[in-house]
Amino acid sequence: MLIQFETGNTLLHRMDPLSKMTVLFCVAVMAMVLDHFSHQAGLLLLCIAAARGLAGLSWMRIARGIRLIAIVAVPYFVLTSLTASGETVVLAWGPLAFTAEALNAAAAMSLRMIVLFLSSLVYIVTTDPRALVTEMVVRLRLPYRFAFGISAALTFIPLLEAEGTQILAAHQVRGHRPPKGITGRIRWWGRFVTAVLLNALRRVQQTAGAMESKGFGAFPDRTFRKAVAIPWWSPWSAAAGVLLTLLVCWIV
Amino acid sequence: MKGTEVICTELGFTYDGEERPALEGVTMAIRSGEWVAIVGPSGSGKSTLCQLLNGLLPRSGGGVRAGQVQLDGIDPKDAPLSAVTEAAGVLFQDPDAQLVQGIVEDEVAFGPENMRVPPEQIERRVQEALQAVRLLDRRADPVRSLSGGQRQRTAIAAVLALKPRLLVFDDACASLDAAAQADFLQLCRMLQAEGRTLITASGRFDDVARAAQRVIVLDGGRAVLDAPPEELLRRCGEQLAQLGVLPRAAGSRGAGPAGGPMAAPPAAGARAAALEAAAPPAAAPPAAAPPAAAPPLASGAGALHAPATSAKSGPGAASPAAGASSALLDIRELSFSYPGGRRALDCVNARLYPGEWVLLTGENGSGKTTLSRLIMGLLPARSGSLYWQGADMAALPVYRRAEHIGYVFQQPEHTFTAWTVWDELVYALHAGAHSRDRTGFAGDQLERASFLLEAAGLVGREQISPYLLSQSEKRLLSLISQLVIPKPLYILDEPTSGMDYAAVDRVNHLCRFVIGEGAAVLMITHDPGWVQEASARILHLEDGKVKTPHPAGQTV
Repeated sequence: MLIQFETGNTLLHRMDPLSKMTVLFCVAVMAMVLDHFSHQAGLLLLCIAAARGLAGLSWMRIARGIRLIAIVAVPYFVLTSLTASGETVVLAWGPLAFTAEALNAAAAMSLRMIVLFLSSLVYIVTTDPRALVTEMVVRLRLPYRFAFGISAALTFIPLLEAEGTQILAAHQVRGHRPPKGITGRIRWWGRFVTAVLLNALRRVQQTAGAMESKGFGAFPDRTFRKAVAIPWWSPWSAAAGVLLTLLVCWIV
Repeated sequence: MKGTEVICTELGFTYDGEERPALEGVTMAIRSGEWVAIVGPSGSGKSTLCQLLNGLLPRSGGGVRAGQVQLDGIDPKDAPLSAVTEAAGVLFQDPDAQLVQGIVEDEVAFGPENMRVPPEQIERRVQEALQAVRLLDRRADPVRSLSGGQRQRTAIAAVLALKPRLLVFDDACASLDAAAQADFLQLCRMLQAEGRTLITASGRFDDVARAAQRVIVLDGGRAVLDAPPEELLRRCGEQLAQLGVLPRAAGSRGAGPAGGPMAAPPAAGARAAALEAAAPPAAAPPAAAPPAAAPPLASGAGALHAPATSAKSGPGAASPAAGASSALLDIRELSFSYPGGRRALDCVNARLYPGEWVLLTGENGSGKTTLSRLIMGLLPARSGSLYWQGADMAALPVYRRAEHIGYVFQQPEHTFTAWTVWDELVYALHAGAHSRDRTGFAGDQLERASFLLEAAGLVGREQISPYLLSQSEKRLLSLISQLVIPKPLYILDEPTSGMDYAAVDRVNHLCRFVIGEGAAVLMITHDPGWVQEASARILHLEDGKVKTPHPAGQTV
């Protein structure tokens, strides 16, 4: 599974979820304020370095993550570079003209997508949803129903992925051949996505019932079996991230 | 500990969008500390009753309830959730539908955490509950890495950790192996000895029902019998057998379910002949070739090559017939480990011949489903470990294998792709082609589909959603939607799990039908006792290794 928490002992696994979320938020802010593609490329390199060096993600997994978001980012790049306005024409071919401004905007936006996706992937892979819920309830005093809602989003993605794999297997077992041609692919994807969504809806309903049967929501508060350990350096790292973001915003 | 007293008065329930009530006029009183078994055939209303007892119906599931339910004087429909959760804990039929946290120990701790149990006590409860279901060594594992039976045990542990005064177990033994079923029986005795009230529901008058103090038999949503088990067995054995909750006499099993359509198969011609021949298979596989709906795999697009060496003899390689050359499927020193290193299969050797019925047995987590998924190509097997009619299968994609191998998943819902039962059944005939690209079905295809529908007891339900069927009916639909195309081999992953005996008879009869046509069946089961009479061979797995192979005609 690509998008799901995996136990580990890397630096980012040991960092507490809230501090890590702060850093994730800082990366998102920087990605939004940086407009030049070279800055976005630099940020992306930093994210890749953190994914590999601090979170222990394999090169293969990083590549799979980038490939997944590239399905959206690459067509966006092509469309924006053709349609965005600009004055400095760098390449013209018949009615088509690529300007430096449009290429920059397209590249920056596409790289931004990859940065946001990759940093979120690193967060999900290194963050135990249980620890996130505990911290949000115990430290931030958020209602636990709300905290579980956030955590459910983290646990639901791998669930959807697993359902998708299972449905894909079932379709193949029932004789579905790989789709051919654009129409075939669209039809195949439509059927696949519908099946995954229907199963996901069914699963959401079942999960809600099962949670209620186990007393979820019976009291305004609840206990937690495990407390979250917060390393001393974790809040300091978050503070450094905030300062760096402020600095970047000030410079830009 | 004082158990919950349960009083139901004229209890009825109708699901949203349904006209016919699933439960009607049920009146019963269960004393504190009493152990009552609810027994009934598929669709008799057992699961509905269980869900009414903790208020899940109609509170979360919708529908209309009639009559009264009282748990120690409170109505679970309206009472505060905290009071209901303390009064009753329910284990539902489908473990996957109630595991919400992802990690085994988190699942077990989830309920006590919601009930504000102090952390140190939660840890103790987790330990005790996992100990009781023998899953302590898997406590840190993801639930999805467990086998079906292990997930069932996790769900049981999650209910135990809540320590409710009433425990309701809806078909708790459905996916459990024999040892785990014995453990569960012991667990029920222990819970009752603690003073808790116990309700166990199942489709069979099994050991758990026999151990209860009282058995209430449901049929068509109504309570039709209510007495101690020994009295029911003495007085109403025939009636219970007709309901399908007791096995019928061995001599009458071969003819198909009592009173069902199988007693007089409607099929004609070749189909009837196949049924005639569907007697328990002979010791040696029939000489007739298996159904050849698709061309041999070896004639495919060059992806296959003949095995370089002859098959090695292994413990599971015992065959009723000649050598590997005549084998449909040849498994050679097949090993498999999941990512993370957990070894699921260790050097498995086995052969399967046309017309054979092989039962794949073993404890929960012994590697049965893994083996079946490797054969089907749903997990990657190393080259040279699986041969189909003498050709290496390694490079074959799933859809090519599906031309020759029918595969029935453990969870029938995973395969459902159509909106109605009939469309689901005939889906394989057009393999998902767009409606405008489909050609009409041939007469014999329609005849076969109709026959299978009748054999599965689903006539009259063609136009409803597959999801609205009972669990047994879903399994039967999943099975016949594979059998609708004749294939040389069918792999069935626990098709009889949680079924009443009448439904098991239907599965048996359907298997005998395709075996009569010359197909082989590899059936994963925890019910060898109810299917082995017709089986040729048992392949038993223990910790991923083949143990105690049983040659033709021999049973455990």
